[in-house]
Amino acid sequence: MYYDLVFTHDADHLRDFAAKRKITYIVTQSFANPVACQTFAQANKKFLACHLLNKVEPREIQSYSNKADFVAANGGTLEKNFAAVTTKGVDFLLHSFGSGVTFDAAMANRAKENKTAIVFLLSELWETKNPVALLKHYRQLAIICKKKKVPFLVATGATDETQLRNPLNLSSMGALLDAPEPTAILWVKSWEKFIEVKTKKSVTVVDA
Amino acid sequence: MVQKKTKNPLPSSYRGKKRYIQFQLASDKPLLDVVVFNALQDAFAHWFGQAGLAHAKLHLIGFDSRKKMGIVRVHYLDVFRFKIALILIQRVGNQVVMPEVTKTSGSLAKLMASK
Repeated sequence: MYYDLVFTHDADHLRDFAAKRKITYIVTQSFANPVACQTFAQANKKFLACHLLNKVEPREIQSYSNKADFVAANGGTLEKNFAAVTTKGVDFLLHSFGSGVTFDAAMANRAKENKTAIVFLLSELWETKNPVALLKHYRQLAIICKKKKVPFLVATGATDETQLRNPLNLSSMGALLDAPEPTAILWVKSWEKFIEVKTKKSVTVVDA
Repeated sequence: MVQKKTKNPLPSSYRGKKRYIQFQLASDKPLLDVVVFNALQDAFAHWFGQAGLAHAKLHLIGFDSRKKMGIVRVHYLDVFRFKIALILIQRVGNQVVMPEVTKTSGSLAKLMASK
């Protein structure tokens, strides 16, 4: 079973794409309120719901902890990344790239304590105006995460159905981030292990 | 003096190892093989440079516009590079595409047999 984190919530397209490929989608969006998140989770039992925080607030995390399967936080600056990795309850740090140094080894230690995974999204490469700086940032991040044993994961981050890709192909991301093949394969395959640790049980997705 | 009919080919041991990669480019309209190959070359050169492209020895074996599937031959050390360059393609010509690598093999016969 492969996992992919996406921003699109076009359920029909996701179902079609996932049907042939044994993929479970983690649908990430900023839900208006916890009830909306619960409604989405009940309507789409084949997907996992993830609430996206633009600003890390413990009270908001608390309110979504039982309604959403996961909570993700948007980074981008040193302060935002720091808040995401130091606050308990944040499962994923997304969009950690920004101008200057936005992540360091000390933050990796905190991420390990809080079991927060750093996620590299393929869509960031399409959206960025400076792919060189972005790749430089994630190369550094991949090295730090490997050294500090912080989960580093790769996903598509698709915002529409044309950006969906087979997660199995994402293991070739190592060619861009200068990582050996076994490490790059782990970035894709450790989703399953990470989700099992997070939920303390194996995730069973009900067929809709 | 009798002239040779063909030039001496490079011995196979000098040509280097290669891999054949089968891929799919899902799109609304059919795509031309020339346009597909140009898109593949451009994507590879964009992410890995002209030297990388030369090293990969990228060669399009064929592209079936009906099935939207194709096969390329690359240097065996550039398989991962080709895969990531392929999945980063969003458009071929004016068409929005969804690329996917379906199979990789060391021999073309095996790849054709598994179709």
